[in-house]
Amino acid sequence: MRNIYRGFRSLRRNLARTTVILLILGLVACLSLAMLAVERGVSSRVAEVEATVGTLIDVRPAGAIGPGPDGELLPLELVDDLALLDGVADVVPLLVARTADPSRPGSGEPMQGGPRFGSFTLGVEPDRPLSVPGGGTVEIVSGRSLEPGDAGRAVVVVGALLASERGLAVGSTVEFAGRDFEVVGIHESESRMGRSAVFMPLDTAVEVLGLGGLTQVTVRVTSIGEVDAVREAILAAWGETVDVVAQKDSFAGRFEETLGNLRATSRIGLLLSLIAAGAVVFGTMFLVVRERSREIGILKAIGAGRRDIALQFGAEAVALSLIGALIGVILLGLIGPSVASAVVSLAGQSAPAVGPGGGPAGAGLPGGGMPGAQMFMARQGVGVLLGSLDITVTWALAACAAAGGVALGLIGGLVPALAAANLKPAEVIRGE
Amino acid sequence: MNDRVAIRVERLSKEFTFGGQRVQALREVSFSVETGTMVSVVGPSGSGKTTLVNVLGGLDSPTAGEVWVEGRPIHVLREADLTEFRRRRVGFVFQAYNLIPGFSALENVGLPLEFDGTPRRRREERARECLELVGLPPSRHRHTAARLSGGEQQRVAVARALANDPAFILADEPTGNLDSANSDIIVNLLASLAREQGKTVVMVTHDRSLAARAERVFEMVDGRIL
Ligand SMILES: Nc1ncnc2c1ncn2[C@@H]1O[C@H](COP(=O)(O)OP(=O)(O)OP(=O)(O)O)[C@@H](O)[C@H]1O
Ligand SMILES: [Mg+2]
Repeated sequence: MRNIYRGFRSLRRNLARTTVILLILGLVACLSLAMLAVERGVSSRVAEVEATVGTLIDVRPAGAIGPGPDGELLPLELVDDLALLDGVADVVPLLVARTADPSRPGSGEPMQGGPRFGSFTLGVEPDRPLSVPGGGTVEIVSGRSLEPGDAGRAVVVVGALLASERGLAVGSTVEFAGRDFEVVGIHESESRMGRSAVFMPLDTAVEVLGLGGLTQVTVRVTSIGEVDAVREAILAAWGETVDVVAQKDSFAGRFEETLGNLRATSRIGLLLSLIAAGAVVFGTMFLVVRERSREIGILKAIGAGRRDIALQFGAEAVALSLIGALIGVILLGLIGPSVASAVVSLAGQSAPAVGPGGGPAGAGLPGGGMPGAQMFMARQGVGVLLGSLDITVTWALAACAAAGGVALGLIGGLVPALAAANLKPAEVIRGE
Repeated sequence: MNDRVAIRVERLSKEFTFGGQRVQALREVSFSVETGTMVSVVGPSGSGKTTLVNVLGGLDSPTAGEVWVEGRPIHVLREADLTEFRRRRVGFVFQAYNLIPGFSALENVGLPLEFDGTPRRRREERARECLELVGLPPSRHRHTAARLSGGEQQRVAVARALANDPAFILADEPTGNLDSANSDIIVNLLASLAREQGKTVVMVTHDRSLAARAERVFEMVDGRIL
């Protein structure tokens, strides 16, 4: 214990130098911790993305992917048939059409390529939360969302932009495709497309629009490991008439790749900054041992054993490194948020280029082939996925820093401490 | 050989190789010292005085010959046993600047006892006793080395050498940096330790008049005792 105490105390001997070294160590530790936080944040986002979109498979009419000819639809029975496949947890049908508008040509037609202009109507199962494919979340700002009891009823939830264009409010009546609908809710969405979207119960949409089919079915598989098997099964049964895209292989997969790169970069950064910190500890202790070699000789002459000397200098290294790590924690608390936003914006710049046809990973919601929404996602880039990356000081991070500090002190201080312990007293007491 | 013999040295040689050159620091030195005696070692620079004292205290190992201290064969002891020997049986005083900077006089004197696990209270008590013995006023006990005069520092060094109540005091030019008044104080102190406490003292010095205060004087020239 006395050896360790002497080691701690030695830090005060050259206070100016100790302060400078602690600041350097603090900066390096702060960098390490930031890298660690980025790595952890990105890893958990990757896991989230995998968990939410990794198990989704989009099924569309053959040849419909991309801004191809509109008009092909999936048969309604496909929903029940897909649900019978092994490994399928859920099947989400979707019908997308241009919103019927007498003033526009082609209104009321089903859309495969996605909305390129104007408003679109989404037929959705009323018992599911509303979402705009690829456009993120939908928030009800007035009235209510669709409810299970709405099935078959002529009710709509309209986007705020469309509502203001047409002067609609909750309780208004609006005509779509020659039929009157009651507006039960107004929603707000992140994208321009979303703000013009009209949601109505799926069966109502099928009936009213007279289309008799679906534009897309999204299959959720029980686990990511079964995605390939389920895709093969769908292709085997309906390969002639449908296109099948697993989201993990398309848009979401590419986001994952970018996140993976970011994670690898942060891991390398972490490793390099740890090596730098170790080098600082090693260099400092090396210097300290050289400088105090005569004193080490005297300690040995008056009865210190190798163990005593090694413990003293090891403790000094650990104290140095530990305090440095704690300074790093404090620095991180000060600059962490700026680092986080810098990382997010950097990651945003390296977002993958998104071509048409992939299913966007909009907050894990069933995606549709919607270039508009994809462009929206692409512009936001990985920033959207990393949106919640926060680099803040938690107890876990502080504990991690403390443990890392101790470990680094032991590693960086080991060789100098052993060198000190092995000094020959007669030589160092004599020596200049 | 009788059991009053504390140190017995037989044909002790020490050779250094430095930059490919061999230096014979000690050449077949033989002597013995009785318990409770003070001997001084004089001689020109480079004659091997420091080397002799280091080998006697187990800080350095001989190239040839035997060194028996209290019946222990120092020349064959391993590092761990030598540490134990220095910790329990030997007290060293070096020329100057051999206190630990930043530590108070009291802490410096208590230091040797930290290595054998003596509890704090006992260490302080013993350190105070030793400082009293060398005549450092209690008001200075908590001063760090830097705030003590050269004479006071050497008195603290002697007190530290006494802390573990050793049988041997090995002092390598303990008065090297002191004026004659302070030198007198230190040498008197060492002499009284031999006379009153029965300690065996070996003191290296350049000053022949100080050397004459010892019971025996070893003259060294070129690695030999005349
Ligand atoms: N570690 C070493 N390596 C090489 N040569 C050494 C070493 N230690 C001592 N010597 C040589 O051994 C000889 C004796 O040295 P020593 O220090 O014992 O002399 P000394 O009598 O104490 O001299 P001084 O009065 O100057 O202190 C010298 O020639 C010295 O240069
Ligand atoms: Mg000498």
